[in-house]
Amino acid sequence: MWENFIGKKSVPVKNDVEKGAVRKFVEAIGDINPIYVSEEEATNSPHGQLIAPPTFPRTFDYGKIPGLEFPKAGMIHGEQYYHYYRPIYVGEVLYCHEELVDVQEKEGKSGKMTIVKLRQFGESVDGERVFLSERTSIVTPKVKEMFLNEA
Amino acid sequence: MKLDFFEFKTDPITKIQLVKYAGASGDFNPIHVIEEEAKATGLPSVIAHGMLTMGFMAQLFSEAIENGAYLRNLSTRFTSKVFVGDQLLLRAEKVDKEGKGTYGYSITVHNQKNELVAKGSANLAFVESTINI
Repeated sequence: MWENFIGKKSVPVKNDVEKGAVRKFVEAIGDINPIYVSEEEATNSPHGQLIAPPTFPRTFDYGKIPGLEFPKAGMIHGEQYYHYYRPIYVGEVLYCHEELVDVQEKEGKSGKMTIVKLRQFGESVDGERVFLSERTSIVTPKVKEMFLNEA
Repeated sequence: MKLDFFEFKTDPITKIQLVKYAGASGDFNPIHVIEEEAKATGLPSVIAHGMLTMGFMAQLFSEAIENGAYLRNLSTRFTSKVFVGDQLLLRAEKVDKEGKGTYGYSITVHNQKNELVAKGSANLAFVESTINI
């Protein structure tokens, strides 16, 4: 089922790195660093401007891989990787898309687990790659069964 | 600023924090906020977003980031579930001797029962305008 979508990509989506969204995000984590929220302190820092916290790309819209559906509830996050080519700046625009890179089945404690790997990309307006990430999710047999019954 | 070792302990995780994180991140997977839906998928109760734990991992480097650093890599494996009420102890230990202006770290995250809930690695670099640290 999901295997058929390996190599398929979404169409890049325009994302604004918004100051208010960054503030809400760091407040939720509790990582309220002036470099993320205080324009004055950020301007006087080596960064010279406000930056977004490392895990902020979680908030971006990566578009939808046509036809690909996953369970709305119950997918477990197994692993996550980020690579940043430079900091992400507040106020900039990033074009983000994702690609399904791998689907595998593995025997687990409660039966056959499906391991899904999606890779995300963020590029500047000039086409410069700013970050890439890879998310590994686990679908338990129970969640997969619920998903198949709904479909 | 010392760069060899970073450590901090979170406050106990609350339901309201999970609701806030869901809103701020856009991750509305109901297993993080709705008890019945978490139970329906076989979980004992709601669990924290893995990305919240990863956000705490990034927070380890907050002071360095404020002083001109940024992460080149941040990578994690979530090894055990994090529940409401859990208090996490995060540690990052420098593993590289002298990189080319970068610093490598191994990271561990334990809960209050000393169970490993996540482990990972990070690579820290400084932006060019950083003259001395």
